[in-house]
Amino acid sequence: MTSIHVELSGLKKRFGDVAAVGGVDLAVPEGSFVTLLGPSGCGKTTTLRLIAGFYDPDEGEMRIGGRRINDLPPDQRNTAMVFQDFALFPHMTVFENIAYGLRMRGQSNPEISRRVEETARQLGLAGMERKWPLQLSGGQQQRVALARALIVEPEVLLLDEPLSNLDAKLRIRVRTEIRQIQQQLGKTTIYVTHDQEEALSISDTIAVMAAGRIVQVGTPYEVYYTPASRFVADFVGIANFVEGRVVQDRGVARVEAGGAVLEMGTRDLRASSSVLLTIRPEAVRLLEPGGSLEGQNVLRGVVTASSFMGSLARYWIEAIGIEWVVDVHMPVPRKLLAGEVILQIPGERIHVLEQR
Amino acid sequence: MRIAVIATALVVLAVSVAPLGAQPARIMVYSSLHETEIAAMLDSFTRTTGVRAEFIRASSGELVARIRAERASPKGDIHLGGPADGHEVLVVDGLLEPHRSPEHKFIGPRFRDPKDRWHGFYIGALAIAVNKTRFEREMRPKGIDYPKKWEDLLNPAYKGEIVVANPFTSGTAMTFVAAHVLRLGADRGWKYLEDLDKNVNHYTRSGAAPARMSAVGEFLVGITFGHDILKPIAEGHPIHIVYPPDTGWEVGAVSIIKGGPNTAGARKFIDWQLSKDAGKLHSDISLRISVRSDVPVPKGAIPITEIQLLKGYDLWWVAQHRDALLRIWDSKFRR
Amino acid sequence: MLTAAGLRVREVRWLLREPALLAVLLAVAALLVLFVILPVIRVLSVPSAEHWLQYIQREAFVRATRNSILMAVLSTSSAMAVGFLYAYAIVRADIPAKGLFRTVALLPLVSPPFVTGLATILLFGRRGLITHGLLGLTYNPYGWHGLWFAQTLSFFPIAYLGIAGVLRAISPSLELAAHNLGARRFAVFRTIAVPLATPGLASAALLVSILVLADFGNPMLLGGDFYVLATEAYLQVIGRYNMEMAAVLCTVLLVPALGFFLAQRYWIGVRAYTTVTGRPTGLTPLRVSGPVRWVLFAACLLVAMIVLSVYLVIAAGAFVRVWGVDWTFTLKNFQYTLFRQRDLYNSVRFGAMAGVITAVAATVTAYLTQRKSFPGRGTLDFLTLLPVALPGTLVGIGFVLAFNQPPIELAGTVTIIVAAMAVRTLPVGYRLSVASLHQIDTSIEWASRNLGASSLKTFARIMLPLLRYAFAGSFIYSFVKSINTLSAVVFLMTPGKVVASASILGLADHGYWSQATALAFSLIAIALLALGALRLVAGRRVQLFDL
Repeated sequence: MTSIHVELSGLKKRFGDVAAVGGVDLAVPEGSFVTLLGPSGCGKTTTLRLIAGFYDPDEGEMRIGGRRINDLPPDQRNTAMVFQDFALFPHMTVFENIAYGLRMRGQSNPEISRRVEETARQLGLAGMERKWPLQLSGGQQQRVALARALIVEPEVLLLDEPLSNLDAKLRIRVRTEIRQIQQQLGKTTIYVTHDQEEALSISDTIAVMAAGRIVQVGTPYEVYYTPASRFVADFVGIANFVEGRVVQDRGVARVEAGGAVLEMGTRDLRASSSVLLTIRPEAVRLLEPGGSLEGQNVLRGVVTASSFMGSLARYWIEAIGIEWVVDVHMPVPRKLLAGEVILQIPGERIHVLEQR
Repeated sequence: MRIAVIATALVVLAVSVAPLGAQPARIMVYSSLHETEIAAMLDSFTRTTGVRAEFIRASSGELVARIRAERASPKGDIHLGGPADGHEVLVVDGLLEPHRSPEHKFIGPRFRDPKDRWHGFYIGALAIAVNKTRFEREMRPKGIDYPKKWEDLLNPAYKGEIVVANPFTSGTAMTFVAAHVLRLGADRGWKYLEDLDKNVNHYTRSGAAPARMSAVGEFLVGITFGHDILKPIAEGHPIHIVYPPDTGWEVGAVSIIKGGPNTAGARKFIDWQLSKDAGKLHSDISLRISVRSDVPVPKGAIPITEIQLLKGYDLWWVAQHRDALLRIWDSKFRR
Repeated sequence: MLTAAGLRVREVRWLLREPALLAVLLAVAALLVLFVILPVIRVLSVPSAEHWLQYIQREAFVRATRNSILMAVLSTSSAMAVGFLYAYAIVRADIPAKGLFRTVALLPLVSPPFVTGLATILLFGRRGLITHGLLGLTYNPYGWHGLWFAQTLSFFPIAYLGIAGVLRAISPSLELAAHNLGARRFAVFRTIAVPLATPGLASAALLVSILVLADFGNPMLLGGDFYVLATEAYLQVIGRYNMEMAAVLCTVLLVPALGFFLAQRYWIGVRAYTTVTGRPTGLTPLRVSGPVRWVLFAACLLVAMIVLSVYLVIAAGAFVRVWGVDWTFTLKNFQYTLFRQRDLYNSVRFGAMAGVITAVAATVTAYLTQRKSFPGRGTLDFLTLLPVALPGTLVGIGFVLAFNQPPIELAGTVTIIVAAMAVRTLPVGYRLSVASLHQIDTSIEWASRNLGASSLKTFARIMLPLLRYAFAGSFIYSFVKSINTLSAVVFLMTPGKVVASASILGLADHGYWSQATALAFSLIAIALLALGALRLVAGRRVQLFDL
């Protein structure tokens, strides 16, 4: 088990009447990649800025490597940040941008040249050192920003929605690169984004935030498949929700919902309690109409809308009084289904969100 | 909102343009008298004659330049005030319109152009204004008494404490320069001015300004016409006024600009200005002494008979040599 | 692929298809040529080689040139230093009483510049309330030093406005990034804020120096025997009607002003970094530290107190019987102002007319240059902005030279005065309109055209209503500046068309301080009322003078 590198406890920050951060506790292990994920205004960026020292917290404690940093000015925290707008200095060349942190640390010129060259090479910026930021493409600017942050060998790397100013394709490539570099260097990283797909693909750990608090911490798998709340399930990916009542709690659990009974394998459920279940769209199986209605959790439904999305087809299907979203991967070309269809819900893929 | 903005704009435009419409005949007055005096006199003129008058104020040297510059199409009707030599300069250039006024019989011939192109209406003499408060504190302890003659101002104790106007813009200063040249002869006259220059702080644009500056104590000594000094004294400023012997003097004149837009109105103005009533009004508000013997010397003014005027001051000579004098002055005193 | 010439032909063809637009375009162009180009050409062409020879040989002229340069360098440096301090404190330091400081800086912008000169005499002169009355000094303000002081006070708000704009435009994330990378506060200031602000600072400095070079109210009042080019040119005209020599001096003034203007347009404009900032990040800029904050506050307080005392002394002067002698309260000075209300009335009337003309011309021209393509678009933009670089004295003398004789004889008319005022304020009105147009998406206009409205109808029905606040802003700016202007108008006044600013200078020059201050007080009050009216109509949508 690696040691805890960054530790936030009871962190609070208000802006006027708004509690931007309302008590955040987070432990980031050494060398791990933690993403703060949440909708805008959830306090994720504020948390990051608190760590960088741009804001002072109202309450709580922040530690890096066991040392309390609350009272350190930003320039002494060694928490290099990559900004959403990159914040490249427009009056400095790429070289000077990358060298900036080293200059501030009083490094010698030969040393600076050597390290800037090395970092530029690592990030695929070799040969661009003399250019001005405005002459670079978005992706290149992004890498300069990253290089500028990494070269100072920060204790913690902070990334504030660094991909939001890039176009969709580039975003996917750059996030892979960021992850690779982070793993090569083993740098403790805190990443902020509102994009769940980005968060799932890049992180060791995701901390989902809402209204100034962390509502769930877990691996991407945990967050996606076993969300802690309806909010998390809904925010991370697409989810179908089913409200029901437990009709059998011994052995195989059964839940009655909308006139149908769903079997869920062996679960520890209280009898007669109300439950909220969630199933991911890709977990639901769609069968041709006219097939057998026998078997576990088979429901009759009607397609209300459908959308072809390339590698998959998405259906909106009315069944047991609920509109289901169902994703079907289409390895071979095939026409979209319409009219009456049959759904099959794999019991083991059903996740129980709430039980009352 | 849009309607409001447009409406406002239209109203503003209407108000702005309205007075451009029908306008009664007016006379255009160029004057170097004080703003308050001109305004009061033109008001009275309009009340008496029904002729409206507009004016612009400038120093008399500036007005001479302006009238000369506009000779092709004169914009002014009346040149009011300033030493007669400034008017005589325009006579030489042929820019003034003669006018025979019934009031001439009340005015001595030495106070007007023999050919009626300018008409004197007041007389004034140059004087020295000394700020009493400052003098008693700063000069008296040094054993210096109030200046009595022009040469007293050369005392180095006055260094940087004297102000007088620039003759290019000011008729007063023109009179001052010419008076010393005439009093002492060209060589000694210019020498005097050079010596005085060492004590002069700076040359002002307006002739009357030195009186005000001395009045508030900005400067110890101001040189200008006596009547311009009497006004601040009447207002309560602590000024000691000195008329040195052989002082320069002026006949303050009024004239009609030839070819101006309203010469008929201008003639009415000359007749009015030379009248006894207008003379009294002018003397009372300005403390200048009228050339008419039937206008009483205003309270607070000093009768001209009590002043020792420079006998040899010849305004015709000054008019003829004006440009030459200015050239010399410029070469010596432009700093 | 269209060649440049082909594009031209196509643009012309487009224009011919919209005759109304073409007519408007030609009218605007004609007016600009008549009132901007022609006067400049007259000034440049009137003097002969002989006059230039005279200029070089006459020591007085050479000295005036040297004095002008000296004054421009001194006053610009000090105005920039004070302006920077002020701007940095207001934009970046969390100091108290910011609103007060901003209001105080507004005052010199909306009053005749020589008001500071007048107040300098009253406050810091040889019998000044502060220097003499309070400190017992006999300081002689007449000369370069007094003038320097007055010019600094008159023009630091211009520097402040420019610098504050630049500082606000620097993305806070740049400074935070530097801080985050280990730069201490001062290092951030030195390596990020200063270099980023430099191009903007240079433009502000150029603007201030042009204004200092061209100003002649303060040199007239305070210069004493320290003549600068502007006063020398004034004396040449008013004292001698030597228009040729005056034209020479104006040309000398024009050279640096035009140079600065071109430098600003083609060099600094290109290097302006502040326009490259990303979208707003919601970050608050780096604040200065505690002690620095209080130093800045103290400095601002000092500056504000001096400015405030200037205006208090003007107000006080307006209400006392005889300045320096009889301090009893009186309203009689205002009687004089009302008695001579013709000047004040003229100022307001001419200012309002100039305001309407400026606002209309600015809106129409901005629409043309920003939304239409036609041959000579860049030239039109250049011509509209050019008056920024024309010293007021040059405009005045140029107007006299250009319009004093047939074919265009405007001397002695209201038109010539109003035209001079409008020309001088056109560039700012134009910039306001351009900025406003940038906020209106082109697609709105396309939508109107798409639905069948012609170019002119679209302008009238869609653009004009959207531009109404810029229109109101241009109007008020032009009005406020026009009632305060002196340098251009003073050459154009004739009996009955005297404006208050000239009267104030005349009265002050004569030593009629009470009347001068009463008139100045009334003029400033009118300007402030006009700004208040704008605030009522447009709220904070139009930013004039950083209010």
